[in-house]
Order: sequence, then structure tokens, then C-alpha cells
Amino acid sequence: MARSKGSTQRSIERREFLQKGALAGAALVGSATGAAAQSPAPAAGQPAAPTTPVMTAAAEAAEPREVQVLDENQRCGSDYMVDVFKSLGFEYVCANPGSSFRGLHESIINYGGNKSPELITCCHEESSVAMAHAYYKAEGKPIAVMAHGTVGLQHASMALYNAWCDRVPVYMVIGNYNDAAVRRPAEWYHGVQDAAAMVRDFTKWDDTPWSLTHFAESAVRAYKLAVTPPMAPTVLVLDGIMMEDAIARDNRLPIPRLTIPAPPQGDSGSVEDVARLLVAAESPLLVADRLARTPNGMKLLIELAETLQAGVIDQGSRMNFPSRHQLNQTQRAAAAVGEADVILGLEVSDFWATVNTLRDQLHRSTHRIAKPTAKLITITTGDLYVRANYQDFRRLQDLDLAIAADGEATLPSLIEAVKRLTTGDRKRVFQERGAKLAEASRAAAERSRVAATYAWDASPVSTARLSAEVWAQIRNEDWSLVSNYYTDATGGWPRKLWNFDKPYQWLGHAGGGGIGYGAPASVGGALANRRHGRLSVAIQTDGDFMYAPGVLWTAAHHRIPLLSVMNNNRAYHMELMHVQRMCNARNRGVDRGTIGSELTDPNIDYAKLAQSLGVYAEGPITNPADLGPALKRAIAVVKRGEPALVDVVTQVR
Amino acid sequence: MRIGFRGTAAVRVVIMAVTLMAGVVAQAGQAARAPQPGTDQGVVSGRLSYTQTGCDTCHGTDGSGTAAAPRIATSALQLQAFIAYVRKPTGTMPARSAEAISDRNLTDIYAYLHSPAVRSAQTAAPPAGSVAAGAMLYKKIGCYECHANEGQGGAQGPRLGPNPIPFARFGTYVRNPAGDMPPYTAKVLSDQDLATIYAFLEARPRPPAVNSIPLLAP
Repeated sequence: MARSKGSTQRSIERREFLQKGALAGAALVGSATGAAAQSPAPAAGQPAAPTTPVMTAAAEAAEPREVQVLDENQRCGSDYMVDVFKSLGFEYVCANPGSSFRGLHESIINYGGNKSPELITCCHEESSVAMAHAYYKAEGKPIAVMAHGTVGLQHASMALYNAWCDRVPVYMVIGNYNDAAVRRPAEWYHGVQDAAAMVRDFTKWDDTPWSLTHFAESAVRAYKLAVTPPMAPTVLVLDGIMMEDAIARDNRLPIPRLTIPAPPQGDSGSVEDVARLLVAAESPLLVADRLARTPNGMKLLIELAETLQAGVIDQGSRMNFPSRHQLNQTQRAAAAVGEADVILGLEVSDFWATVNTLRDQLHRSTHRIAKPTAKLITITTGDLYVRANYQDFRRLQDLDLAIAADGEATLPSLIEAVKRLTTGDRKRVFQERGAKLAEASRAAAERSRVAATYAWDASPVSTARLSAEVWAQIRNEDWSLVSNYYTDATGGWPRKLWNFDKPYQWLGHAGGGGIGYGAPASVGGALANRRHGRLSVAIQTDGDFMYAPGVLWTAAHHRIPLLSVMNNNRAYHMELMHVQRMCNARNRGVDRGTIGSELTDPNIDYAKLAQSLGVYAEGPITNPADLGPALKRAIAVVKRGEPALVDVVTQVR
Repeated sequence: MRIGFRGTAAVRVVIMAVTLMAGVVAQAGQAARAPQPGTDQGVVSGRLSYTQTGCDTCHGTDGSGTAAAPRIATSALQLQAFIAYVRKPTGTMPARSAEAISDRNLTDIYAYLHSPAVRSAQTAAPPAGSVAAGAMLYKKIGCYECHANEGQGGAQGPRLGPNPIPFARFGTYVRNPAGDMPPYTAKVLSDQDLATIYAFLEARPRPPAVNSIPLLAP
């Protein structure tokens, strides 16, 4: 359905009004300027005449112009847009305010009552998107993000790329005045022909609707495509005039019904083949990365692993498997890969790097760590949808079997096939295998505990001590680690020391490795956790925090309870190591290797920064003995429903 | 496998020669002689097999051990027990089947690990070094970035101290690391500097017993 005739007429009237208004304004300014030019200079000691335009007698005497407000029988396009957004179930919309979507902004807070969606005020569009990214992973539902079509989307683009690489739906709504004839001066800077073009390489779909009916269909389609695996951000470009134009109140525009497609399962024959290989294997290994889309994903992986008594590596892009499960071999991942005769990758984003290593020296070399005879299998939606330009699809690994399907959706049929094919003899073999894996897992955990004792009392505080101190304070709470500090090459201290056994206790990584995700993602995850009464905890790295620290103000303003514990090592340490690698490779010495990577001179006072944003904060803490009491005090604040920050000066990583 | 190789023609010739030599030695080892642990021939073959099999990745280039795996040089383990362990290890070490490495090759590796050269590397005393100067140097040249401020190890590098690996092995590894560690030549880090850092690592305090720390209770 096209825009109504009445609406079109009003639009033209509006343009006429704006044109005439602009001319009148120009005359007014010209008149005021002329008056000022004729005025005598003020006498000494007299105040100067105001330089801003003042209403002239002629303007005061002018006939009142037509009043342009909605009448009782009208509403506006963006009111209808809010109706559609409400039908999609959005709880929140994150935005840094922008004039190109001012109509929608007003409809959300007035027409929509600022409820479902509620507007969350953000200080940077990158924060808006990263909040939405983490919110989805905590709640399993997308929230919307609004931004300018040009300057806002450019700010948001890095965070959108993270979400793309992480295969997370972000519902992006951007404003643009498509019609050049009605743009205010600033709207030329903010106007663009093809607004979504700049992010099209790393979004799944976008559209620029030309009517409200077109909008409604595209709004529902954008949601549907975003949440259908392989999931990814989508972009809706909304015309400013379409938002602002009046429509008849009784114009009952339809709201399309949302039907989310079931994710694709592996075909039964291929699933049977995988089951046969797993049951016959002497040392099968399950590797999960972006597997658990829903809380059921973890349950299914536990069931498959326990049925087979197979080892599991959780690569950590989702909360796939309990950290202390006896079959969890993540802390000895390289050894587990080397032992395996069948390796099943479940939504693994980088299967090549799972079974190979790359030696990062002057001349890079690679080495396969899996047995040459090991059967390699993947089940992933990654085979269903890739784009050409950005290279997040990784190296191509030779495989024995690949199923292009959703991992979680395929697990029930795979479990059923494995159970059906398992004989009594195999069950006995499985049990023996499980006992050995349990012992290996226990030994690895013990090694981690012992490793944590080294530098226990050192200052700066060791990252092991920091993790242990936080764990001591939260272990009896219903907690959730909402920052992206969890895994690294060997597992990361929280995963080594904490008992992760619930799906919401870990929200995964940034996806694209873009720094600046951690702080806003923590706030977004905490926003999702708030309704469930969970204690949200972030181990916040300093370099990441400094990208957009204003997100802590958002947490304070919206009363989002969150404990942020600074892992303040006063440098971009990953990058520092890269520079050192170059210094060594070029045999020039590393004395100057810290230049450009350290955050010192002056040291940043994160407690003061947080306090200035309205957040309770303590620190900097350098004595590990002071950490426990400070965390206790901060958690008391968080339990009152507010954010709190504890700045800890730590060792490197 | 090697990617992005940009070596000179001369380097490529040397590599080809080494590869050919390795092939000759391997063939000779498999076809012409019975394994004789402790002989020069067994030691040479064993040294090649040791690196080709990847033992050095975890146990270090001369079996001195790293944070990832224990010392196996000059161990008291008998040859047959050594081979049996490689076939069915406990802990994190991956098993090596007879198809992956023969008993004969393992015997040669055993010979290498008990050779006089390896034995002397285990017992060489480090030169004297100042702990305080070592602490400054450890920070200055960036050891802390991967191995953490107290040498306790981190996500990117294993634990170095206290009780570091033998000094000779330490020096060899710093000059010619087996893994991802960037190499330090004598131009940027003298042997005396190495000794100074080693003194710092030796002086690191021993940690409290894990069971004495309530926060680390499982």
C-alpha cells in the first residue's frame, strides 16, 4: 500500500511551508542585520547591543501563520512504526539521540509510553550496538538500536562488525531524510543515497522502505532474517519524512505476523554417518564454539558427551559446556586434539586452527596437531552463508564430512542415532574412556589451582588472584560474567577457577576482536540480567574501557546493576607483545617496545572516572589483601540496584 | 608445512641439504643398523627424531623440560619403560603409536637424552647475576609481557620461576625458542644479561601450598 493521498498532500504543504518559512526567516535575518548596521555605536560605558536577532515590529505585526500540529483525527507514521516494533516484542531500544529519527524517538517516548520498547540513552552508537549484542546472548531476544544513517552508523559500524563475526542478531534502525528537497542544512551532512551501503558487507540484509506498508513488511522481515541461523545484524533505513508525516488515525495499516523459521537440521543420512563414526571411535572429541543458541544447547551437548563418554572442548564463543564437568577437556585442549581419532566441530568458527597451529615467527609456519588419520567432521551454519570481502570465514580445512546445518538443532537427532547404534560392548568401552577423561580433567584443574598460587601476594595483583577474589565473593550468588574476559589460549583464569554450569553465566566474545566491546557489552548483558535478579560481574580491561567509558553513565542513569572489576594493567598488552615480536624479529632490542602501547604518564584513575559518571567506585587497589573487602562493599551497592566499579592495578594478563 | 617463506637461495640450499641428510640418517637408522643406545650414531639420529616428532615442543630442545612438560633428559626411567610411557602416557601428553614413531626411533631418542652433551647441559652452573638488576632487566626486555611480572607464567607464556630450568637450557631456549616466543640474540641480550635474569627467576619466592589458600578451594 502506498502512502495515502491525504498524506501526500500534507507532505507537499509542509514543503511549501518550509520553503516559505525559510524565505521569511531570511528576510527576518536580513532585516535584523540591516537594523544593526544602522544603529549607532554604543557610548562608552553603555552595554553593547545584543548580536542575536530580535523580533522586529514588522514580525510582531505579521498575520499568524497556519498552525501545523496533528489534529485529533491524525497520528504520524512513526506512531505506526512503534505499533510494529511493539508487535515484535522489543523490550528496549538503545540510542544516542539523532535528528534524523526524531519522529520515531518522540513516538517511542510519548505514543508508546516509553515501554516495550523503553529508550536506553547511550553516549556512543558503538555502545548502543555492543549493548544489544550482549543483551541478545544473555536473553535470547534482540533489542533495537537507533542511529543516524550517516554519522551514527559510522560510529556503530565497528560494533556491527563484531556482531556479524559473532553471528548475533542486532536490529539496526537508522534515520535518513531521503528527499533532498526537504532537508534542513544539517540534514545534508546526515543525508545519504544508500545509507546501509557502508555496512552491507557485514550485515545480513537491509532495506529502505518507501511506504508505511513497505516499512511494516521490511521491519518484520528484518527481524525474521536476523534471528534465523546463521544469525546476523540487519538494517532498516527509515525516511525522516515518513516518520513525521501525518496519517489518518482511523487508517488501520496492517501489522504483519512474525513467524520465525525453524533452524535447518542436518539430513538424516549424514547424521547417521556422524553417529556411526562417533560410536566406533576410540577417542572421539566434541568441539563446540557458537553451538548453544539457547539454554537447551548446553543440555544437549552434555547429553551427547555423556552418552559417548567423549571429551569436550568448549572454545567459548557461547556457554556450551560446564567448566567443571568431568568430560571437559578445555584446559588440555591441544593434548585432547592430539589424542582424538574423530573430531566433531559444532558451530566452530575456526576449525582449521582447532586441528593446526601457526607459529608466529619471522617466517610463519604451520603444523597439524591432530593425528593425520583423525576423521574430521563439522556441523555448522557457517557453510550456509558467507560474504566475500571481510575474511572472517577463516582457512579451509580438509574434512571427511561436513553438514551445513544448525548445530543445536541437529543434536537431538544425532543423540538419538548415537544411542541407537551403541551396543553393550561399546558402552563398556565408553565407561572406561570416561574414567580416564575424568582423571585427566581433574589433573588439569589441579594444575590450574597450583599455578594460581604463584605470585599470590604480589603487587601489582596477579590476574589469578583477582579472579579468585572475585569468585570468593560471588560463588554463592546467582551470578553472570558479562564481560568478554574468560578465555584465551589456555582457558583464562575465571574458567580455570570458577564453576560455570548455567547457560547465562558466560556470554561469549566480541566476535570480530574489535576492542571497545567489553564495557558496553557488560552493561547490555547486565540489562538483560536485571529482570532475572542475577548478579552481573565484569572483569573489565582498561584499554577496552577507554574506548567509550560513557556507557557507565548509561548504567548509572538506567539503574543497571553491574559490578565492574578493573583488570588495569596500564597498557594495550596484546599489542605490546606484537610490537615486541617485531623488535625481536628485527634484532633491534625491545627497550622502546612499550612506546605507543602503554597507558601511563599519567596513570588513569578509573575510580574517579567512574565516580564522575555517577557510579560508586573504589581504587586503585595495588595490595591484593585490600581487594576482598573492596569487592564486598561494591557488591552491596550492586545489590541495591546500581553499578559499582573497583579499580585493581594488575599484572599483565 | 611452511607458508610465506622468504629465505634466500643460500638458505634454501642449506635447508635442502639438512633435509636430505635427515632422510639419509633416517634411512640408515631404519635399515642398516641395530639400535645402540649411547652410540654417536644413535645420538645423532635420536636428536633428529626428537625434534621431528615434536618432543621438543613441550620438553624443550634438549629434554630439560618446560612449564608444559617435565624434564626427560637423563631421567632414571629405563628404556623399555620410556617406550611404554610414550605409547600409553598418563596426563596431558598425547600417545604416540608405533606407526607414528617406531621403537627404534624411540631408542635413538633415549640415547640422545642420555648423551654426554645433554648430561652436561643439565649440570652446568649459571654465572653469577644480581637479583635486583635481573628484576629491572626482566621488565625492560619484556619477559613479563608473556611470563607475568613474577615469572609465574600467563596465558601467553609458561612459568619460569622459581626453580627455573637449567641455565644452559634456559640460554639455548632464549636464543632459539621452539614455539612462538620471539628469539633474543646476543646482540640485544648478552650472556651476562641472561645470567642476571636467571638470578631473578631463581630468587622468586616459592608459593604457599595450594591447600593453605581458602580462596583456591575447589
